[in-house]
Amino acid sequence: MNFLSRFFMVIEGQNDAYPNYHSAKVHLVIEDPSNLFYHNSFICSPIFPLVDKGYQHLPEIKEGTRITFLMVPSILPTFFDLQNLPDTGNKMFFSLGLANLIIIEQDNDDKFSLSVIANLKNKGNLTATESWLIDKNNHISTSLNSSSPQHILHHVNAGAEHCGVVLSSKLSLHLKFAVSEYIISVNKLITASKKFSPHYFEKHLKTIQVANELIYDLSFLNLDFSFTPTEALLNSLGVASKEEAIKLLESQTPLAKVEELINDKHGMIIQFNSSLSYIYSQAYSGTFPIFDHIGIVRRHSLLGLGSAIGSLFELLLQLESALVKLPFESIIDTSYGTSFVPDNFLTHILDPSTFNSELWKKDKVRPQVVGVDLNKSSDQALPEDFYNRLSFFSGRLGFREYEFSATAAIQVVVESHTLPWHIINYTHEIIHNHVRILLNQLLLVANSNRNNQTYENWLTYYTNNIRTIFKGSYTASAATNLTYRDYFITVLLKFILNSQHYGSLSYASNKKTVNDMRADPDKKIDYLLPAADKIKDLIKLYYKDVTEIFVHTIDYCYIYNQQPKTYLTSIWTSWSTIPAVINDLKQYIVRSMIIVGLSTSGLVNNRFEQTLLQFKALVAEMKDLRKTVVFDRILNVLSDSEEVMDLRFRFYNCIIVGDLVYNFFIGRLEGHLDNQDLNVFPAGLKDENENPISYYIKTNSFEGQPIRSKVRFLLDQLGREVFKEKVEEGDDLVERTSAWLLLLLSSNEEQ
Amino acid sequence: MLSQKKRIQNMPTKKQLYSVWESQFEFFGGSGQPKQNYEGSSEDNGLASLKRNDTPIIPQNLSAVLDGEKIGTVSWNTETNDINILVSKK
Repeated sequence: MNFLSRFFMVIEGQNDAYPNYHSAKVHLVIEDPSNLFYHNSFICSPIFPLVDKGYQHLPEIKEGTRITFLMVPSILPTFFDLQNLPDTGNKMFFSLGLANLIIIEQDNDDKFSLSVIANLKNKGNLTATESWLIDKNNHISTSLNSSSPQHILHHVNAGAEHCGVVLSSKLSLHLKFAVSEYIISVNKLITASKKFSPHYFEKHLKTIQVANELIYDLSFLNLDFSFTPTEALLNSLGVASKEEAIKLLESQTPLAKVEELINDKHGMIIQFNSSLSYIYSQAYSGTFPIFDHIGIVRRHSLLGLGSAIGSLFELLLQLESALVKLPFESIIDTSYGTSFVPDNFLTHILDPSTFNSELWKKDKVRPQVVGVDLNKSSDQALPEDFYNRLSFFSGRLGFREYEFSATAAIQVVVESHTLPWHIINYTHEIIHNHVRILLNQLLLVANSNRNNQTYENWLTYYTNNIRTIFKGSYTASAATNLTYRDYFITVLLKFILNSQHYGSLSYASNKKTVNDMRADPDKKIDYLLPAADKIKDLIKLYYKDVTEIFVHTIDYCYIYNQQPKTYLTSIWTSWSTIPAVINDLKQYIVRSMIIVGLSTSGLVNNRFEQTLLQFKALVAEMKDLRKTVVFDRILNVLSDSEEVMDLRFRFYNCIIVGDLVYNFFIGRLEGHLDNQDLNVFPAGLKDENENPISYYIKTNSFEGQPIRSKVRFLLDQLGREVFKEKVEEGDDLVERTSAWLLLLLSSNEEQ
Repeated sequence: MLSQKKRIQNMPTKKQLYSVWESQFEFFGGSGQPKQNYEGSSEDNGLASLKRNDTPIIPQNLSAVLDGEKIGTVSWNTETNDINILVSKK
């Protein structure tokens, strides 16, 4: 007899309508819901057996069946204990909703569920329950003496919430509409959060309090001076105080900038409203009473995706709370802002082909900033104005991030543990915000941080550094004036200028000049320093390339623990699903080669050769394991000498930025990333097949200590997927494993 | 050495958010409008956003580098088969 790992709970309504408590008819089916034909609209959710081996027979639904839905915030060791109760296989199931535990009992006997509820309540690990007794014809009993349906909130933290924002009468109607939507959506979110995810309520509130400032700024710009503008708005208006801003806004001359700022704030509010709509409809659908909140992801329309959202949010919480410990909020206040680079640092970056990162590795100032054990820092508290972003899934947006939220591709819901859609890809998006903060201090330095100089004037100092390198007149005395931060800016600027010949991540090397020079070795091509306004355009153009090199390097070091095979297998199997990658394959090859190249040493031209060999070997290995066309295409590129020459020059230029991040911006976060998780194994351990393992909990098991380090657990799970032998798995097991991974990640350990 | 007071803050904090708002507005005209193609905008390119074929509105102004002050030269090194950047002759 086959064991199955998934069934669907389908609730059918009456009279062509969606169900309510009086019309609901309960079905448990194995078929995909898209293949079901009922006379009425229905909602459904996949349900997974709690026991590892699956179930043999669908639970019966008949008169006297009792179905209890429980919201259990902390999964381990609770689910392991539940798994080991007698007869669990026929009674206990899990889902991806906030109601993540489901108990099905027969013969109107609720002793089992009542004892589980009492036990969970006793441990403070139960948010709410809903219970249905099944009547005749699989309908939910609603008779007065049946205690069905029954909804109980097992904590006192309830009541409608209000974000405190007032709709300004000065706004025009379309802006009023946006703000009104914002206020109602936010109120709805925080009210639901308080009721059904009380462990996240304070965090959600903090995010909303920060987002509220968009409304304050928008209202202020529309001449409602009862609102206080943010410092960002004052800076953008070029004024020092609210009073000055009022004077400016009241002046008769219409300011284009004011209109642009209104559009900007309006755009951000619309974007945030859209995020709220996603989050509410995914996280809080299926909360109690269940039929009050029908989800719009059809496969999960009964119980929603609250636990799946929880998995994203928990990852985000751990990473953002760790990254906050790094000393880069104000680079200028670190030794990078106060110490001067040695006099050979500038000339060192003249010619990429002779660059050697050893000089940076041996630097004496670097350890003062990134060598500090952040786990031993005396101040471990989060800053007062710290907030977390919100998480949700999106089919349209895929993996993407914004100032207030970060999304994961919807495919993660069913395949979070498979390589192409692995949830670990979400970490890349979380890190983007960290990089944005870094680059805000290095490239896109805002007016208020330039002492109100024009950007072009601000750039002059750095272009002069570059001019000086080329004049060969760089002296020790000049070096003493150059701080590390200024040097970093100069290095990034040089990367951008080098791109005119060498290319970059997304731009090819200059084939024409290379061919001209190869044809005539005496030929010399000009290296040009454009005017400052042109450089500003180039910075904007190459900002994305710089960003991606930063993010890849940081992601590789912190999340993937510098394991090149795991990292490359992960990103390439993910990229192989994206058409645009195939169309711009060399960009992605360069991204990969930067990662491989980080651990090579010597002159860059030698490093390229080492990197090329290593990368080829890794691709060949990946090709053997995964039959994906992209690996053949990569090998084709790597066997074409003209293509390799282009890759070579792009690598020369880009690896310097990678080295910059690797040497100067990777801090000692390991303590925060390990987070005293007792499941973490010491380095170097291997399983019976000689594959590396780093974490106690096995795939699809609930046995282990609470998961305090989501990222370490995730990396181990990814590694098991990378190294496991390919075996055919049914969809039900794939989806159950995915749900298991999301459920464990969602476990909140602050109970 | 680091100042402890300064060291504890990084991201995301309100202070940093303000700085992002200010610079995104200054350099890209705002971060909330679905018209830009840069990190953080609604058209930004994350790991998988390449599923879309967005057209950046920032001009791909590579020709900008064709104008400018000559500060050095680039030549071909026949021994190493590499581009070499050389300082200007004085």
